[in-house]
Amino acid sequence: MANVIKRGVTMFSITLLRRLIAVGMAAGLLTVIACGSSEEAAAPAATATPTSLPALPTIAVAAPAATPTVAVAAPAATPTPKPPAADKAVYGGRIGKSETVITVFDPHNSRAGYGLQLGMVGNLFSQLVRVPLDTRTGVEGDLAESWSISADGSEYTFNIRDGVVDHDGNPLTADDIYANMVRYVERPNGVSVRRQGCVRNYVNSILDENGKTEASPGAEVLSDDSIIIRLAGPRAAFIPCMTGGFVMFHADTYIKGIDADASGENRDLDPSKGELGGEFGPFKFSSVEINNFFKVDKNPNYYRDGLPYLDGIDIYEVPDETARVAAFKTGRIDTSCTWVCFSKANVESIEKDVPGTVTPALVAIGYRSYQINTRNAPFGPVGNPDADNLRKAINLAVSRDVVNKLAFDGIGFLSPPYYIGWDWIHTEDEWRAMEGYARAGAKKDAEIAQAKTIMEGLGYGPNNRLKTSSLSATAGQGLRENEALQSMLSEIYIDIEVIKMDWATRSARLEGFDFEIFSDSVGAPFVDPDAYHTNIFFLFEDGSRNRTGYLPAGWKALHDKQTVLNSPAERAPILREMAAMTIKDNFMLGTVRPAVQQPHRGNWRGYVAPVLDGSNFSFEELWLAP
Amino acid sequence: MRVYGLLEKPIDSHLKKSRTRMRKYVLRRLLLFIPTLIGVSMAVFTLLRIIPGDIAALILSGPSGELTYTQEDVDELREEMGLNNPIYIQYLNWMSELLRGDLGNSFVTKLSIGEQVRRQLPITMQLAFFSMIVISVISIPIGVLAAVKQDSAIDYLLRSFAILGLAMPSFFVALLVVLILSVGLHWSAPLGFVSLWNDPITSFQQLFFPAIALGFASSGLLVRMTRAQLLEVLREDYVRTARAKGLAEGAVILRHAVRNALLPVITIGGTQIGFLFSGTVIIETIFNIPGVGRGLISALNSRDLPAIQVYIIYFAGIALVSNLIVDLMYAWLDPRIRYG
Amino acid sequence: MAEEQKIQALDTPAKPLLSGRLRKWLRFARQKPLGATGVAILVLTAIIGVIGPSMTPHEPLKADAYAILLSPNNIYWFGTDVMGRDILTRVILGARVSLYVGIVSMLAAATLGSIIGVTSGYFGGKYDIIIQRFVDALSAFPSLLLAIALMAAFGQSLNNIILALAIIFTPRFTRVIRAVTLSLKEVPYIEAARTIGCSNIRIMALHVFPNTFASVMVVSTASVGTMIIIEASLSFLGVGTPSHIISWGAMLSGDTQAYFSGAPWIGIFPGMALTIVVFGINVFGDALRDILDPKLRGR
Repeated sequence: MANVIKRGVTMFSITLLRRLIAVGMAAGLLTVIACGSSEEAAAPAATATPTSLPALPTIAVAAPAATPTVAVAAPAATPTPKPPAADKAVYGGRIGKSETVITVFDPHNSRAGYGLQLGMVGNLFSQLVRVPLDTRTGVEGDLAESWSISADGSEYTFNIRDGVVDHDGNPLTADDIYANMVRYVERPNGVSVRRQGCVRNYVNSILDENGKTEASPGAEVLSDDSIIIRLAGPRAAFIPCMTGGFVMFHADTYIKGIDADASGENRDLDPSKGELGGEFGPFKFSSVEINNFFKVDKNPNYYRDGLPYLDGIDIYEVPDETARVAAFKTGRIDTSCTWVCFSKANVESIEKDVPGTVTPALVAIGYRSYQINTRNAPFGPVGNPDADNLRKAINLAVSRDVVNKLAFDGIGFLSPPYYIGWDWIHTEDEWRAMEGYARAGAKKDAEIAQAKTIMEGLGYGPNNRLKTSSLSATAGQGLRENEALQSMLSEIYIDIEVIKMDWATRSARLEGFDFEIFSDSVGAPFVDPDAYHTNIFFLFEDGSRNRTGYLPAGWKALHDKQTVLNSPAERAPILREMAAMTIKDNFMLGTVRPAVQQPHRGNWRGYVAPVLDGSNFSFEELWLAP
Repeated sequence: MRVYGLLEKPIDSHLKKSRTRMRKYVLRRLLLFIPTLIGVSMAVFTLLRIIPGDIAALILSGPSGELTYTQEDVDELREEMGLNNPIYIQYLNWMSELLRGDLGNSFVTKLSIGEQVRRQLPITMQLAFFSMIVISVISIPIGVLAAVKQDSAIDYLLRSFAILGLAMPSFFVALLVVLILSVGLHWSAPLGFVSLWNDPITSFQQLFFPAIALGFASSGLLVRMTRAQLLEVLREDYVRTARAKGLAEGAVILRHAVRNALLPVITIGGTQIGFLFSGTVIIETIFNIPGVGRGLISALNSRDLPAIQVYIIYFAGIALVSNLIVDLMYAWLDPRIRYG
Repeated sequence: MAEEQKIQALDTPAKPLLSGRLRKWLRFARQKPLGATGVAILVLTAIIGVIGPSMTPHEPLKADAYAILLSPNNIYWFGTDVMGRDILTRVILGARVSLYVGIVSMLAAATLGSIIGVTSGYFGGKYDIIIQRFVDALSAFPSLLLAIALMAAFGQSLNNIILALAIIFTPRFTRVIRAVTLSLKEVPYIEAARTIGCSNIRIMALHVFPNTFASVMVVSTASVGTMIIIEASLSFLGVGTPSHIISWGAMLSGDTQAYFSGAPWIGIFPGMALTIVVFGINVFGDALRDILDPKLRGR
């Protein structure tokens, strides 16, 4: 067991995360845009050097919005399959996979069952543009063959790939893309498209109140094979947004009818009525039983000739984790669920019992932090010396490594507050040098001792303990995160009552500032491993999920300034300034960015797992070693 | 909960057998069934609406409570669910739809709950059927053996085994079975449930161990009942006569005693059907059987309120009907019952 | 009835060699070895419940990031859980909570059930009919499902579990006690008490209630085991005891499910403890039933 602990210590390393990423996807993207300015077509994959660390942002300078640029990306027209050099790809075979629930099929209808939907993006469903499957970096066209960006950076013209037919046999046209854009932007009949919010946020509206096309609509069909998408303003983040795992495109065959249904209610695609025939992916729908299984077969008409290698994928609903582990160990499934599926202990037991198992780690797009209510005593207001000292003591007493071990299986990464945890802003060593972020060891022990001294200075001690509470999730990591805080702060004379409640109830208490401490995850809206384009603020105008009731003076101005900048080189100094403000006032204590382990059988070849858990999970290049 | 089959129906030997009273009893029992069912539906409906927090917000926040939503979303859903009406209007609306055979649509799948239950019901029926076989196979021989070897070491051992079934939470049994099978025997049931009719062999593989786990938990009562009934019958005059005639002990027990002892056992076993079905809730989740029980759990997890209330009423309905049948059978079999 | 005779034999005068009480126990143990095992288990559990907290080897709540999920070893005999806490310590402390839930819910259900059952049987009429419909409706729910629904409505807390269990089990007590009351009503001395003008309350309290006691005991012992199992099952389904309270049910739920395959000890030890105690309660209940109410033996 001691081994287990030792093995678990490889954590918190953003450098490791970087290695996992190979090359920052956005770096590739920016190169596309930058190279585009020379009017030359650039294949993003060509600029990528998969084994080296990502280029620092200084070399990948995006065109500032004001500078007119025209970028054209033209990946190879029909990429040919490229099996690893040493091996010869073998056709055939099926793989088994588990999901926790199989009920909902259309990724636009994201009420439940995200795992199946996300796992099918890249398999049953296609994207307009996607992250290449072999390098998992940069961007390539999927249904779009190429795209160009207008002079002012706010209009994107996508050229639709020739010769793509859906599983029913109908050819892909720009109308299909348009119908999906209407869904994203206009949400006809209340279609949820909750996980595609970035598209809606960036793109102009398409229809006015009367259902007439706007003067400058967010999407307009130019011809059968080209469509123009107009953004509200220049936004280099638009392409990363479009590569997000949920942003996929149906043929308009079935969705048009659903969107125009007179009942005014949106519904899911119904596979039993053949409504999953309007897809373009490498696998086509074969059979389904709700809450039981979902099967797809090889699509013989896939636009990439010769792909996929597999005959099909069988997905089973296995809600219980013990049963999932048993199914993996006994060969009933070859990989796990798309989202959180196995704990680290179970992955280790699988690796022990099934030799050869490969377990890529997917980094979650969420960041976690402890937030402290600064509106009320004793933790507020900011500026009151006692309150400031108290928050400082808490920050010093919180060991990020302990939180990672106790709540996140020890496989998470250091997460500073907000989205400023990237090493083009501060390297991990720089973060670790900041107050409270020290690695477990002598320095952290000294910090905890310092926290104790501060608390004693405030009059607290073994016989005069501070009683407070934290609002917590009801179970799992979110709960353990709070229990970890409880345990760490009990060292410095603070007793936390962990109050468990579901998110809706918690949310109401948070909005009424009826809490002392709570922990939360902030999810990134789209796949962007290096976060060059990720917005810091995306849920609330006044500060992401910052519920603390406090923002440092000048924060908002800095934020607004960096939002319109596309270049990391320009953004980094501003973000450094913002980070310093957060660290100084200790109102929002960054902790851990979790990771997900997704084992698969050792006979897989040609499959590169995505870097982030919200990506395209295509198996089209996967083949099974004999 | 499994221990009182007979206790709940006290025997009152003062009353005499009477056909008219029997008829009256049956009629009354049938008539009372309806208000009880209405009471049950009202209880479920009210219970699920006094859940703390806004139901619409609960649903929108998703199974793990992490999804975000706007107030607009909440208002929309409240309107859609009719949550703005007073509760009795909501109940009457729901009942009138229920009576028209419309069980409503799931919030998660947006599909008809009626269809969902129709899909899941046969699966659970198969599991329950297998479990009943397991229960009979386990409990009757063990009960008989324990009675025949009364107060011997075998008796204590067998009874301990039966009581152990009652003492282990069924999910604990299920988890252990899954773990032991996969680690010890490198075996787990085939995935993707198939019905008994389509593929009997696969279906048997899928249902065998869940039925054992469920049956083990439910057989404790029947073992004890079989033993007790047989002990009583063995003291009856006709058994003594049979023995006096010089019949072999085995023949006496099998031909005379067991046959007579089993009738009430089987009848009372019927009361267990309702509990057997509620046992499927946990067993189906762990053993991966897409039946009604797992349906309820996934509805609970996704806060699918319309589905939850249908499921709970369904389970209560099964229990009510099986109790009704048992009561009627019992009245028919045992004329000493007090018709009240 | 051989066993009855044996039990009657318990009352024969003691020989002077051993004290009467000890002899009785020895005889009980010889004649009802299962029952005696049950008593032994319960006595042991009660001792652990009372003095356990002062003899636990480790801190029960203190998380230890550097001792997570250790398999059983000579420092942590039962291993550690996902927060690095000692499982043996928590199993010992869990005894208290599980027994507390079982016993308090049982007392609540027995009290409510006795009051309702005695009055319902004694007065009869419309009151009885209405009460019996409520009892019927409540009994219609399989207990676990009713518990799920009630917990969904009440929210998670230890007291709410007790409340839910009391609501679920009251009808059982009510039915049995009502039936006993009905037969007692016809007994001559109660009729006599009525004739000499005793008040209803006095008759119920002094004459009816004490005579239902044997039945109450029988139902109680058998209910406690089931209550403990329902508490655990609720926790398993995520609607039971809050996890900051150390109960065996809570130890079997939540994270335990997610880590069980890789670290089975986190579930096996609390599960075994629970099984042993419920087993003890059940065999004790059986023996008690045999002694108190030979008519109901084995049922």
